[in-house]
Amino acid sequence: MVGCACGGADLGEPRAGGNPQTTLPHYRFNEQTERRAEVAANDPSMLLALSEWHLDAAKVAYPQIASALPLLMSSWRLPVDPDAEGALEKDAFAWLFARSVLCSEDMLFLQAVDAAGAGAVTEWADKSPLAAALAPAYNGEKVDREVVLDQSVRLMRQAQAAMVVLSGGEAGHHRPFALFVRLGVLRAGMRMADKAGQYRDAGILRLEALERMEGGKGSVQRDPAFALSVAAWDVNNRSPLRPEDILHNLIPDFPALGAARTPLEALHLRLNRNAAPSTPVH
Amino acid sequence: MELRRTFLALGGLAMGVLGTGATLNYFEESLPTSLNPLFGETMVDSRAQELVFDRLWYNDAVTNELKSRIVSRHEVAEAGRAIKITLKEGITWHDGTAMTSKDLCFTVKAMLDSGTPSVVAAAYQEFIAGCETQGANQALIRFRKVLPKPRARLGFHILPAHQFDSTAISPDLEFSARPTGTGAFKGARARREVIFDQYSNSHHSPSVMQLQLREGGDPLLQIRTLEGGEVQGIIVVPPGSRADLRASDEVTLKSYDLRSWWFVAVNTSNPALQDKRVRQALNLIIDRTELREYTIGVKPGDRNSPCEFISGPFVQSSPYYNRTVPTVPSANRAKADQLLKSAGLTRVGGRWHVGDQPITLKIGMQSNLNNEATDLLEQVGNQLGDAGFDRQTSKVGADEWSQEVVSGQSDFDLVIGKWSFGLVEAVNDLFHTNGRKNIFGYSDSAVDELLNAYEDAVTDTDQKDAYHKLHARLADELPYLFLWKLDTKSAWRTEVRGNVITPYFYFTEIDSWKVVED
Repeated sequence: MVGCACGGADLGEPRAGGNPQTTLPHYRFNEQTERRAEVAANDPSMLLALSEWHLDAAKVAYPQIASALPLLMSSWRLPVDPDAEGALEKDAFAWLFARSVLCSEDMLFLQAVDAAGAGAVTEWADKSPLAAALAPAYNGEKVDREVVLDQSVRLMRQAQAAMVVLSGGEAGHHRPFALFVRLGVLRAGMRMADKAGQYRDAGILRLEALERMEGGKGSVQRDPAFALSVAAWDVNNRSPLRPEDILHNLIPDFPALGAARTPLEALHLRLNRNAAPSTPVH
Repeated sequence: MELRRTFLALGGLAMGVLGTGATLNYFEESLPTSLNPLFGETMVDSRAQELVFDRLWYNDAVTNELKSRIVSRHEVAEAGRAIKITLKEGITWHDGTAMTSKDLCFTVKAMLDSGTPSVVAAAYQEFIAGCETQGANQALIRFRKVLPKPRARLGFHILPAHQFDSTAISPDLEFSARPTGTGAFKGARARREVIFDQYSNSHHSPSVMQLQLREGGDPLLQIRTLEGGEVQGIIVVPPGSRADLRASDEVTLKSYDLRSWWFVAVNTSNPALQDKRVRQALNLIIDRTELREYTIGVKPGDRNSPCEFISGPFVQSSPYYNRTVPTVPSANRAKADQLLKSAGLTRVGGRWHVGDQPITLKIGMQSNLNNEATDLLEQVGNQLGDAGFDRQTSKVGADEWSQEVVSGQSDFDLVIGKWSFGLVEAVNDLFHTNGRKNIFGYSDSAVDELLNAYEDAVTDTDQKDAYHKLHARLADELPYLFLWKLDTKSAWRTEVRGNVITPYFYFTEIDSWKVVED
């Protein structure tokens, strides 16, 4: 449990429905200029502590999930976290609802990709639906991103067709849920490409997944954690515009994300001063 | 699990056939006004020029990495006040002539020549001092000051020296319609379209043989033509059509990262509009919520709307946006009337008068904006009419907009338009007394001071603060009524593959675009 005192600040006991005690930004200091303008900054280790607080609060809210959490949270594990093992019990399947994985084997496949590389797709092709879809995209060395894109559509259509069979007819909710399947293939393909050292191809798949996720009004596929990961990836590429838009769209529903605004704006301002000149265009 | 077995049985992929010799037809907002990159005034111009010319350096559309297709080596020189550039060998212009360092230096000199009336060039004049060739493929570009990251600044397109008689380049030359570049495509503007033909070069290898740019028009017709396969893409999809296209299996909607905001510029030279209380009243007469609903289809309370109101000259996600300045989503006629009366206007027979003269507002709008916001001009006119102003409305074509409206030579009282930006959101040219795109010659010393403070800022914080103060000032002074930002989406048929869209420039990665026939 984390009743964290971090950076001298006590976050308080994790509790269901609550929020950690902290104020943002963490630091305010003055520039060493005549004007001594105030600059705000956030402490990333404090942000990590905050995320741990929320994880502990989730365990307080539903202690029965503790055994399944390592696998459910495997997409967000840190490199220092141990691998998750086993499969989900049937009564935990509900936790996969509205996620981009189809079953617990998909999560184990993704974990294997993280641990062993894109080649894990071959071992998992007969166990994990996502691996089955992605196997044709891997030639032993490289991931073919165009095949990933095509397979994402194919699996989506298969899922939709299967839903029709099971439902006895078409229903309005089939397509939105089939989109989760498409996103699953794209995101899994992205992770394979990342592990295969195909940074740019992984980027294209990443951006495609983001694009498909933002399905318009009240899109159910919207995954703020993934969107934020794309924003972080863009920031790593020193490209601030898309992250700013992502953050701006998420902040009304997830105000805590306002923490990311400060450093992101600092990056934009810095890049602006060294960029090629341009004038407004109509 | 039956479902899982079904998925596991997903077998091999039947790959589509790569179509060689493919032509891509697409709808643009309008025809380009010029294919000469020195005189690009519209986003249509920028996108078209990207097909025909190479920029010295550009950012990768996916990874943002700074790259060049024409530079093989570079070296910072003279303690940061110069850069030595070695061009790649074997690159030819579209007429077969070899590209050399002479072309690079010619381009720089043309930009520095006071006889080249280019707003694009003016921005480079501020930090580039000159260029000298140092061999067939080497040149040294000198700067007016030390630049910490010079490559990021040098994003201009290269021009062919042999196609011009002098470095004073006029926008009226035939070159603007039939340019010669080193880009992946050779372009030529006709009356109703622009044809881009593939040109094989050592540094470009496009799969597409030809692109045909057509002027968009009726949005419904554009969508039907796209769905029917007679065109393969639409650069700017009207918001009202996006839901249908998103649900289509034959078309893919793609984001086009562009910072655009819409405005109504006010002619402060018109005596009736000189008093800012009148402009503030107009701001309260315009009902943005209604306009957005009737013209774009966004209802109040809609989540994830592509259209967000603004209160100043930046989009809300920008670090320059001053979030303490509220937007004005709805009309307030009572307060508007109060302001108009306090400014000395009188209402006679329901119409506002200055002295004994009724006020008639001549309102213009960039015509292609009607595709994104249907009947916006009429709706704005109706709101002003209901509030007691006579009006005359007219749509303005792209050429007239560039040549007359933006250059300050129109006789409109209000103009409705859109400005687009990339990473750099500098608005000085729009509002400074000497601004090159100051539509109605607006002048305010406090605004000039803030704009100068932005230019002279030593720290990022100073720069941001200057623009925050500017935002607040302009929201009060209202040389523009700031409307909204509207996300831009493109649509391409699914047989078009590898179509990575570059933020702002769009077609930078055209070499990877291909057509696959399923």
